[in-house]
Amino acid sequence: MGKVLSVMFRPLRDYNLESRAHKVISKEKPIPAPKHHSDLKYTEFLKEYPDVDQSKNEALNKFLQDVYVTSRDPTPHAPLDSSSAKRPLPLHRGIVDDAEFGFREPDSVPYGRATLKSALKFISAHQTNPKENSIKKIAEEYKLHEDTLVNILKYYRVFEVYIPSNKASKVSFAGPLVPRKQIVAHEQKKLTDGKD
Amino acid sequence: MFHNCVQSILRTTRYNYNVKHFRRFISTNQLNCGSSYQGDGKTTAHILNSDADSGLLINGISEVGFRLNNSVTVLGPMVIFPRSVLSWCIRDIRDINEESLSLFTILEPSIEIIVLGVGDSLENPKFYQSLLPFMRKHLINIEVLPTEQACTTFNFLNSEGRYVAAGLIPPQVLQTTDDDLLRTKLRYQNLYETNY
Repeated sequence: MGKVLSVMFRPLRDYNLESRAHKVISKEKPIPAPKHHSDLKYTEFLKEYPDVDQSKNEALNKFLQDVYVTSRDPTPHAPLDSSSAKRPLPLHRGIVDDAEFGFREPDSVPYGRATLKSALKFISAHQTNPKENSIKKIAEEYKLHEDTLVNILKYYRVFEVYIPSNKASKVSFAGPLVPRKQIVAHEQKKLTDGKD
Repeated sequence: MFHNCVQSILRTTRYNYNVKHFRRFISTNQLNCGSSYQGDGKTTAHILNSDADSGLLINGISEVGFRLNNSVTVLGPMVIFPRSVLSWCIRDIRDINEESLSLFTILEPSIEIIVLGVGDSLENPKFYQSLLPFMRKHLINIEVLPTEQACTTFNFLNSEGRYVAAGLIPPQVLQTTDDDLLRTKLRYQNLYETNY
């Protein structure tokens, strides 16, 4: 719309443009631009009191010259409300070491959840001593649902590490060759031998 | 259930005189395309699995378990995290359900992506669909792959520094190469035995 109006009124605006321009340029003394209102106040003040001393005050000028401004970078500090903020700004600028489990452990864990570190801890604790570290006790300690915990402890186990006792002997396979006594035979799907 | 699992591991251990072909993974960060060639003597290949700081990766896979890059052999299904590993007491893909995936639902921070290695190639195409309600309920991303591909996917994701976990079931059929066979024999020091 503005463009249309501009095109419509251009002939009117440009009427006699050149001669008007020449008229302004050919003036001997150009009309000065209007002053800023603060300057205007000052000139009025001078008009009112013409006997004001306008010479430079040497003492004050010396003070001004002696002023020396220094600056330094502010040391980073936590904003005052950082404790209440959910995601506080990072303050550490150095290189961050690799985390123990390959990712950063959260500071707080909501109810019903656990970090991998604590999960490994309670799984191994239950496995080594299921009576002392009962499901109920673990659920209370780590604030977990008992049903979920039962499933976790049922399906996830810590590995037993087996190191060959005699390293000089010819290794056939890295694993215990004699099964433990308490394990009973159970019909199960057999693995193929992979030769075919 | 636990007895069954341990038993299955031990059974396979006794059985292992025939099954000893570890499929090896070598993952490089160079794509096999023309642009990655930088001229004679200038092209470099970077083997992820030999990196010291890339966390826990899977070097090999067999019908009974996995070999990790810290030269530990893991028997049976496992759940592997960036720097830790747990035994997963399930028999096969039919045991993968909401209960056996319960650990992932409680972990804080929640895992970015879970790679499920379901053994051999997926027979039931609706398996992924059956996981969808569980994924939506707990806001978990799951990638279902045959175990061999799942291992490489996990290796890549972990070396990228992601918070990834993988639940892996050893496959029952493995395609091994002559190189795998030779290296397996070298490992068990019976290269010149005909019947190993």
